[in-house]
Parts: sequence; C-alpha cells; structure tokens
Amino acid sequence: MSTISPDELINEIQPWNVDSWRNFVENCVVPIKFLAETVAKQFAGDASSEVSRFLADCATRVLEVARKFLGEVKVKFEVPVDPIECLRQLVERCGNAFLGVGENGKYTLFAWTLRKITKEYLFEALYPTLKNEEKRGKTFEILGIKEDLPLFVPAVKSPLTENLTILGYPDYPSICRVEEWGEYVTLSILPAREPTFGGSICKFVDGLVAVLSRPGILSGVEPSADVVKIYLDKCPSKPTELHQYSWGKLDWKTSYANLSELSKWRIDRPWSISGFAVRCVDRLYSSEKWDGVLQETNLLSFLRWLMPSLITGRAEILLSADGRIALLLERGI
Amino acid sequence: MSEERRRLKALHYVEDYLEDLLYMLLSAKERPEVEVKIEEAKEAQKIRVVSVTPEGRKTEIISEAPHPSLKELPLLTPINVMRPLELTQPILPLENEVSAEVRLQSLYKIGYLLQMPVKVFDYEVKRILPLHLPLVSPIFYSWLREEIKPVGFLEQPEVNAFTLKNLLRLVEILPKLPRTAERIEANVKVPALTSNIFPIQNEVKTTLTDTAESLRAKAQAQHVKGRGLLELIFPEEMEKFRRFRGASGGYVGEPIIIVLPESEHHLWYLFWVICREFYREVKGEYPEPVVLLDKGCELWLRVSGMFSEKIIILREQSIKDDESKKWFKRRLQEAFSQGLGFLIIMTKNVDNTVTFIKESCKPYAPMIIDVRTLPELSRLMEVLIRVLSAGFGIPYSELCKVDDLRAGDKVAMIVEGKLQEFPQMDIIVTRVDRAYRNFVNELLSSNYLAHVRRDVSERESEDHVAMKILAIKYINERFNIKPEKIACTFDVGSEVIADVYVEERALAVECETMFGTAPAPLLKIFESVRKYIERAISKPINEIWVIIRNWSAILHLGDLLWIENILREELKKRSKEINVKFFIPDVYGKYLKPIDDIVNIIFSGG
Repeated sequence: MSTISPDELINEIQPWNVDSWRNFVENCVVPIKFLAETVAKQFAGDASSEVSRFLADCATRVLEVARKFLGEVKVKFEVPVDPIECLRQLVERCGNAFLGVGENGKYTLFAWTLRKITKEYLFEALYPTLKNEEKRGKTFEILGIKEDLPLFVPAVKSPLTENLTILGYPDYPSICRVEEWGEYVTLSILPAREPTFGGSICKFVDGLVAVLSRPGILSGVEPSADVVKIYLDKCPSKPTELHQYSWGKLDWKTSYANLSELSKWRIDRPWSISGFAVRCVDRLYSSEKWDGVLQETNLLSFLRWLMPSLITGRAEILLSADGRIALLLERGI
Repeated sequence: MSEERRRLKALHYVEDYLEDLLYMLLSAKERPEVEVKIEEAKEAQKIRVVSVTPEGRKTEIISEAPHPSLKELPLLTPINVMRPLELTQPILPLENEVSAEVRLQSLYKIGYLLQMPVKVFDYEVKRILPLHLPLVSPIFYSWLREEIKPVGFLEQPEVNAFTLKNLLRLVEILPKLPRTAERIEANVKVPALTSNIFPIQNEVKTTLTDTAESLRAKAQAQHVKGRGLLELIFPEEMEKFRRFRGASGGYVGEPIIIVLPESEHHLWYLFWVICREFYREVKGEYPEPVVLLDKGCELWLRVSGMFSEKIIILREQSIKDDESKKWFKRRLQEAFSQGLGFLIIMTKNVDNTVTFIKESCKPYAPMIIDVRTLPELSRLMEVLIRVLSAGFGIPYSELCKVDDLRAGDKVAMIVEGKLQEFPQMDIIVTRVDRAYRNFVNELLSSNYLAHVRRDVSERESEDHVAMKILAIKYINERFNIKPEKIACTFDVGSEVIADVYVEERALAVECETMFGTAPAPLLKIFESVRKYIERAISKPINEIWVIIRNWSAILHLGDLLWIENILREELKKRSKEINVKFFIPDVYGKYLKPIDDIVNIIFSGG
C-alpha cells in the first residue's frame, strides 16, 4: 500500500495519449469482458451471474465507446475451459483493475476522479497539467468531458462562477428530476443520451466492486487483499463541516443497480442551492421554499469541503436538473 | 433557436436539461433589470418598483414608507454573522398625558398681590412621544419587490422618565443607547483548496477456498466427462466417437465399420492404433491386423474375409470390380453374427460409401462410424501432439523433430504466423507407440523387477508388471522408502490384494491396464477402489493410488477424471479418511503424474 500524487498519476498514464488508453482496454477490459460473459452464462441463476452480466455489459460499453475514439481495438482472450478457473481469473482481474491497483488500476483511478469535479479543484489542486490546452482538449475528448456542457453552473454572475462550475460525465449518475417535495425529497436519475468513455469506465468500476463483493459462487474465490475496503479506508472521509444528518448511505456493493439511470433516491435533509447560498433544510417545498434550516453555508465552502471526498468516491452528489437541489451520499461497503 | 421553440423541445436526457439550464442562465443577461424609484413626499417616501414579467408585460408596484427619524443605528449586541438578528416589536411604556390645573378664587375688595395661575404637573410621566426609528430589515429585497410589510424594530431598553427634566431631555434629545464596545471586523473564512494523494495498491492474487476447489473438481469432471483423445481431435463428431468408444465397453458382439475420408496425412494409422487398444480392453489380447491398402483385397475377401477379431484396413477403390463387390457384400452380411472386429475403409466420398455399405448389409444394419469432415490440419495436429505429449510425458520437441525424416514423412504448416515442418501424423503416433513399448521393456529389465511379485492370475500382462515396477520405483525415489519395505501383490484384507502396498505410508497402489475388462472396462476401476471400503481390511489404508496405462488413460481421460471425483466423494460420505488419486505413467521421465495435472494441460490448451 502506497500513495501516488495526482501529478505523478497523470504523467504516468498520459491520458491524452490514445495508445495508452488502447493498451488499458486491450489488457484489462477485454479479458474481463470475456470472463464475465462466461461466468454469467455458466452460473445463470446464481447471484454471481447477475453481477457478472452487469460487468460484462459495462466492459462491452467501454469497448464500444473506446472504438469511437481509439480506433481499432484487439479483442482476443482465451477463456479457461474450467468454470471455476474462470471465476478465479475474473475475481483476480477485477481486483487488479480496481482503482489504484497495479498498472491498470491507475487508468480506472484517473477516469474515476473526473466523475464530478469543480474547475478550480481540477486545474488548481488536482491536475494542473490539464491547464495545457492541447493536453486538456485531447483528454476531455477521449473521456467525454464537455467544457461547454457542465454538470453544474452556479446561477450567479460572479468571478467565482467559472471556478465553481462542475465538469464530469453526463452518463455517470449525477443529474436528476425532482419527483417528491416536502419532508422527503425524491430525485430520479436522468438517463444520458450518449455513453462517454469516462462514464463507461466509472460504471465499469461499480461493476468491479459488485464482482469483488463476491456474491454466490464467487465467494469460493479469495483475493489476497480486500482492495475495495483498503481504498475506502485510505480515501478522505466525508467532510465533517457539512451537516451530519444530510448524508444518505450508498452501498458500493449494490450501487451498480441502485445508482443507475432512472433509479430513485429519497432523502429527508436535502441541500437547497440559491445563488451562492447553500442551505441544508429540514423540509423543502420547492426550489425557493423551505422550512427548518439546519445549516447555512456558501457554495464555495460547500464545494471545497466536498471535493476531496467526492473525487475519490467516498462521497457522491446528486443534483436536480435546475441545479437548485443537491443530495449527498456517503459511499461505503 | 427561439425561446418558444426551445420550450417546445421535450426534456428527456441529462444533456437536454443541462443545455436548457445553460440557456436560461445565459439569457438572463438580456432581460431588463428591475427599476426602483424613491420619491420624497411630505409625510412619507414613495417607492416605485417597475419590472417586466417573463411575458414582457411592465408592472409597477408603489408603496409608501414613513420617513425614518433616527439618524444612528443603535447596535445593542455584536453582530453574529452565523445567525441573523432577531427582530421584535419594541415595547415602550406609553401613557396618556395628565394635566391638572387649580384655579384660586379672587379675593375681592381685599387687595392682595395678584399672582399668575399656577400649573402643577404630576410626579410621574404620563405620556411619551413615539420615537421614529429607521426602517432596517434584512429582508429589504423582498419588501421592496412585493409590498411593505410590518417592520420590526430593534428591542429598546425600557426608558423611564421620572422628572420633568428627564422627560424634557427624552423628548428633545436622542436617547442615550448603549453602543458596541468595539468595531466589528469581518474576515473571509472559506476552506482552502487541498490536493489529494491517491492510495495505490499492489496487484492481488486469488486462491480458491476448499469448497470451491471441490466444486471445481466436480465441475471440471462433469465438463470433461465422456471426452477422450478422439473427441478432442474431432469435436464436431463427438457423439459418433462416444458411440465408438462405448463399443469397447458395451455391446461387443459385432464388427465396427469405420469410414474415413482419404487423407494424405495418414490418418488411418491413428485409428488403427486406437482400434487395437479398444480391442485389448475388450478381449485382453491383440487383434489380428489385415492391411489391404494396395492389393489382395478380393483374394482376402474370398478366402478369409471374416471381420471379427481383426483390424482390417482397405481402400474403397479396392472393391471396384463386381467380383470384389460380391464378396465384400457377402462378408458384410455375415458380420451380423461375429465378435468384435474393426473394418477401416478409406474413401473419397464418405456419403456414397456409407450408402453402399448400408445397402450391401441389408437387412442387417451394421455399426458404422463415418467421419465426414476432418478438422483443419494445423488444428488436428496441434491437438494430437498436445494430448500425446501430455498423456505420455514425451516432450513436444521430441515428438515434433523432423531432422531424420524424409520429405514425404513431413508436413509443412503455418503455426503462429510462421511456416513450420512437422512429422506426418502416422510418424507421431508411431513415435509415441514406440516410446511406450521401450518404456515397458526398460522397466521390465530394471533392477526393481527383483521386488515385484506376479499376480495370482496367469494372464498378467507385461504392461501390468511394468506398472508395478514403476510404482515401486516412484515410491522409492519420492518418499525414500527402501524397495524391501514396499510389498508387491500384497494381501491387505479379506480377498483384498493390493498390487503394491507401503505400510509405512498406509498406501495401496492399484495398476490398471484395463485389458480384458469388458463389458464396461471403466467399472473395473470402481471395483479396484471400492474393494478397500466394502471388504474387511487388515492393514491400515490412508491413500489409494490408481495407475492407469497411458493409451487407455488418454482414450478415456474425461471419464477417468469423473470416476476419480465420484470415488473421492463416495469415500468422504462413508467417513473414510482415505484419499484416492489417479496417476498416469510419464514415459519419458519414468515417474507418475497426477491425472488432474494432465487434464489441466490438455483441456486448458496449455
């Protein structure tokens, strides 16, 4: 167990380099796709089949999107005949593709950290290398981040607006429709029109975690380390500055199904965003009407507190389509 | 895009919503701002708020507010920026004015000093004029937009005026209100940007739990069951070859006719050897070989012509003339009541030949194994070499060397993009067969022979003796147990004789050539192991090894692994602490190799 600075990470994997991503897809995603497909077929009816099917679909999507940006990708892998060996290899490869594990884990980690990120955190704190227009342009093009279509823009004309704009992948769950107001607020996650390479990798990571939770027959395989737990333990925890009762629980093991398009999230203490004002409220009747302010802060502080845990995945944020409501989730296993 | 058109666009996806929101934010610039005018009037101020509705209509709200009269904002407590000031209505003591007047009667006729009327005020203050405090509210914005709401005042300390002097002061001058002790300073306190350091981890390895290992064995056994050398070489003809293999264990009362497509790669020799091995399993002896590839077919059919107890190899072209056809037809019909034998026919057209045979035999329906499609040569060779190399323990390089071969005995193939030469198929099979025979001979002439005792049966084959020698050699070398302490053909219980027994390790070894074990030769292996758990045993047994002769092992490989698994489960269920392990001799290294390892090599393609 060691650490890597974001700067070292980006320079090692060179995300602006198409060949770099192609190697990742061919050596990591393709074998997992074949193994997961085989396990899903061979153990149909078992819990392992469901998670393997999801992972196989995610890997297929990564592969399809990769072809658009990376050109031809070699799809060759010989699946072991022995079904139990398939299980073993699947778990081993999933472990070694997980965030920050081995060489492949560096690619998933990089893509994962760009799920939802403010511009100031991205360029000032995390990857200043991406200030370089050419590198940024290529990286964003490959991963599918659109600077002209951010996930969130503060509804205030201010010099801070640009900094607090959130970039990310439209196809990884973040933008929602409000379905219920009042004591509880329910958000349903909106689907994206087009899959992005980055968003597909992030969903692929959720699939890896689902397989690494080893349901059903997969429990017969023991990895040498619990990489998911180690990762979460080492990640910055949720910010204590934000109201403790405003956090929902997101179980990473099942998030492949629960944090997906059209799934609903119900929470009793949402955050209301009004210009730069951010309030954790007890009851929310509309974007502008609330009762019982539990905490009041500003957008700058809110996002700066949130960012370290958000980019690593310990925290997750869901936003209403008008950017006026936010739900915070704490990821755990 | 006009706003109306944008509004008509359905919002379904994340991208739609984000585009719409962005448009709204950007277009907000173009809207006229709210205009606020304040007009001074005598009694109050007039506030006009002029704004434009989203539809473009102009609205005006006029409201009035009295003049604020207090010039200084009284600050009673330090401002708590974390909590808005609480505004309450002031409660001031307001009382009615009291006046009292006493008029004194004039004294007439008496001249007194006239005095002016005297006014006497009450001791207490009866009325205090209302104070006008400034309108200060944190919700000024909403007040401005909508309507004038009741304005809250800062809570004032109760003021009492006890004297006229005090009262006058209260009326005339501003009340002395407490002031804040210090100036208020505001500091910006926002969290600083902190960079993350990401955790990275070394690659992980995975192992299987005991349950999974057991499950793996079961699944693998089930997966490979019924698959041997022939099924691996001809996967598309698997069912036919299962029937063929079954013939050596099932109904053995008839000849089997094998129809092969003509091949320049001498495929027939492989079938010839396989038929020989099946025949040995069934009958326990060698079949008589008859080769009619070139000429003499008609003569043989006329003079001898019985298929049973033989392996006959001929070409379809050899039966062209009417006389040959007549005799061939006759011999085929006679096959309905003969024992096991094999007729291998090579033909250019398998379909026609099969039809011809079927027509010739009528009304008898013979057992025909027809191979209609041959796999690609490179695939066929790759599987054949892999199975034979692993199954006999002969190195790949030894099997495939071509240095000493004539051009006609070699075949060129493209393997992994490179043109390579390999021996013809019959050469490979011959090499394996030769290596096995040499291995048996070598063992039979080794010093370990001195420690071997013959079986009680007089029909013990040289292969069986050689396997007992190999078992003694292996145990001696692996466990460093002296040959003298390794018993051979040893009585370990009531009618239970182990081929080899090692008391020191409580190990019994069974050598299985599978010769003459029909019907169902594989049952013999079940019997060999079950005797240790079903009969009374007088010696300790913790482990049973079953050594299976190489040719039989590769022909029944899948079934053997399945049997091993079944027997393990059976022993576990019967609470016997006995482990069963199947081995195959390694002809090259002269040691024993677990069958699981060989299955892994063969079926994983490694």
